[in-house]
Amino acid sequence: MTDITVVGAGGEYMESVVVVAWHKKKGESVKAGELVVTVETAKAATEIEAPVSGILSDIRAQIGEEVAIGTVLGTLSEDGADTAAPAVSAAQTAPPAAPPAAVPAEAYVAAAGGERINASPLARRVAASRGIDLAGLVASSPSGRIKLRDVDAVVAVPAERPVAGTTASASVSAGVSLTRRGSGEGTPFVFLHGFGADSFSWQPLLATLGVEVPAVLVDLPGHGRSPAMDGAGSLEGLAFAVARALAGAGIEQCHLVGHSLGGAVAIALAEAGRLAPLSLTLIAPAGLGPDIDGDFISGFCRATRAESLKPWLLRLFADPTIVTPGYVQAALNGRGDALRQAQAALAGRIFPDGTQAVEMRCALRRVAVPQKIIWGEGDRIIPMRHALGTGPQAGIHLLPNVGHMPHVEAAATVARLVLQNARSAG
Amino acid sequence: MAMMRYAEALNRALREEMQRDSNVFLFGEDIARYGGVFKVTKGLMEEFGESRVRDTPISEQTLAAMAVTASMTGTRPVLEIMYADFMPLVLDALINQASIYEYLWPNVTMPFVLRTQGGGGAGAGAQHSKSLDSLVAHIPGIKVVAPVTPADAKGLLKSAIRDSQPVVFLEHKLLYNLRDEVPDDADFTVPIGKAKTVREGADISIFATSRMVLESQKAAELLAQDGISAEVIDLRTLRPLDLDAITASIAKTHHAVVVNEGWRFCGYAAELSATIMDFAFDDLDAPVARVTLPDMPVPYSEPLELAVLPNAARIADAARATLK
Repeated sequence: MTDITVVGAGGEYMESVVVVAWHKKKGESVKAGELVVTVETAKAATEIEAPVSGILSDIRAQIGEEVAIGTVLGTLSEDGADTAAPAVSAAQTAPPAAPPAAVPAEAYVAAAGGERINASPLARRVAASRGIDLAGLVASSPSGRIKLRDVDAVVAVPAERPVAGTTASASVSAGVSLTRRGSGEGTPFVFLHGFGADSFSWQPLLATLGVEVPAVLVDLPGHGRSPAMDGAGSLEGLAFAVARALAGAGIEQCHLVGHSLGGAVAIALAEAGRLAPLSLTLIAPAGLGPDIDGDFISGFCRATRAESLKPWLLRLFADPTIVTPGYVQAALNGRGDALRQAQAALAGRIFPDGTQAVEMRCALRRVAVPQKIIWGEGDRIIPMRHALGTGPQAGIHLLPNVGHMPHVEAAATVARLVLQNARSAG
Repeated sequence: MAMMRYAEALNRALREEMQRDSNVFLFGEDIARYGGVFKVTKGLMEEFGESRVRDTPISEQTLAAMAVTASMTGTRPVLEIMYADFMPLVLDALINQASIYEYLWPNVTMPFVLRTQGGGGAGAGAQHSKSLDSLVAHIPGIKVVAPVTPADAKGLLKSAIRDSQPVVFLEHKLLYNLRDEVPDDADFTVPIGKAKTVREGADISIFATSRMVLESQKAAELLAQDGISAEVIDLRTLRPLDLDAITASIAKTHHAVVVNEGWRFCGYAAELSATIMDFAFDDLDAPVARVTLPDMPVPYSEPLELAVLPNAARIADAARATLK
């Protein structure tokens, strides 16, 4: 008997996943490496392959069900004998998720009362291959016919979906979205994401950090759930907006973790004394040198379609397999046109002409708290040599086979370093 | 390369093939002394003599039977039928002779070409404006081509003359003055049965032949203004169809509009859409849309004629409706 489970490694996993499709029926035989089940997080759909050959003897997580990472989704047995073991405890299991796709304002009824479902041949074929039941879909076409886009919408999860995990809660403070999660007491970790990203990008790191670590996830103005804000079009403006939001939420002492642009914001926050960080962990931070991949910035800002966004997302990672179609679609859905334009305007101020116009090196030297700088050796956005010469108090950690997203590609390592840094603050 | 009109490109093809092969000869109404009503055969009688470029009486049925039998004796006749509207008069030769003899007598080949021109838009009235593509494309054993560019006109006519099977060569009266680059090379040919992607696109495939390719290209421009990326495929050959080109495009766009200037019912567009369903059904995300002439005569009145002929706006409308 072998369990089929989701493990928190590789992609941008959250603490829980939603089962999207079973690709095998109960009692069907499966070969090792064959696709058995597709699950999705807020960022991406992930296909889970059979760990061993056998017969799918039990399906424990039904389609639409939200289950915690590590939950047994089903079991494979050698002989196909039905397992008598009770289903895994649902203590950690959240209630079934809301319908995965937002129903469009203009929705058309595809099937009424047991009649044949009206779907295009392509939609039927793709839905069958993904194990999606057409009966649950809503046609977006005035013809009432379910089209491919309606099937795709099941996998492409809109970013409005709440952060999973029993203790997460989002609130808005001074116009900035703050998501608190973690059950434990103590000094919170404040996470500042990079340019064009949002608070969801921390999910792989949080999954390995553990549920008890108190964390506050910031959506920078013009990113994720925080709309663009007057006066937040510069680094100082961003830092001020974040400081005001954290103060409004009663957060003074914290451990600061910033990635890329969020790293520069973290330095600005720490240096200006608006916040009293106990430790500072910078992941591929901006502000430590003039170089940045200007093509990435402009291409990313222009992209309005999956085809044009994917090549730029690929540049973020050393491992191209992270950028699945579902990942691209989720990234696209997470950024409407208003946000895209706000981000393009911000990039014009902070990264004009493919150059980092913000200089935080001196500011960083003035910050006295324990510092760690983490960089992927395969970073194609900001060169890792910017980590050099940052002062004697900064520990530098260079990660091989990792690109610009160490918190995604090497989440466990980064989690360990973040905790180490916090402990060294005493 | 040389800039020339579509009619000149055809003339060049005839001339090169007559120079290349002394078995090639031309006949038809007013093609020799007058040079053809659209001047496609201009100057050829003077160059090749009256035995190889022949004027004939108005007797299409006889002319077609002559093409069949002359080709059976080893020559390569090229017959001009002045208007496609008179194709019904040659159908007996095509249906009961040309498409059958090779089947009855395995040693027989019939390497003849039947050139004709059809289509509306010239105010030529109900008896001189028809597109009867489907009547000839319906017949097994007959190849049918309908080029839109001068270069394809030259290259396909040369291929048709060299082909060992009967080929019906469909021209369009509004294309004869279309000027474009044409290869000078006497060995330049365009293969029969190969479509050409004239515009790449991602959202919808538009399939057309002859003048409707030009309208489809304009439609693609209109659609681009709406952010719709249309692929335009010039089939060039109506039969045999380039299935690979059709299915590959639909595998990419999942949507199709087929355009034909002929009638809708049992028309060439109907055949195309059925073929798409035969070979690409599981790739379709919407029913195939047809843009055709309504089932009625082509009016003589210009506003009425324009009101019924397929055009860029109608093709774009059909594409938008398919994508909804």
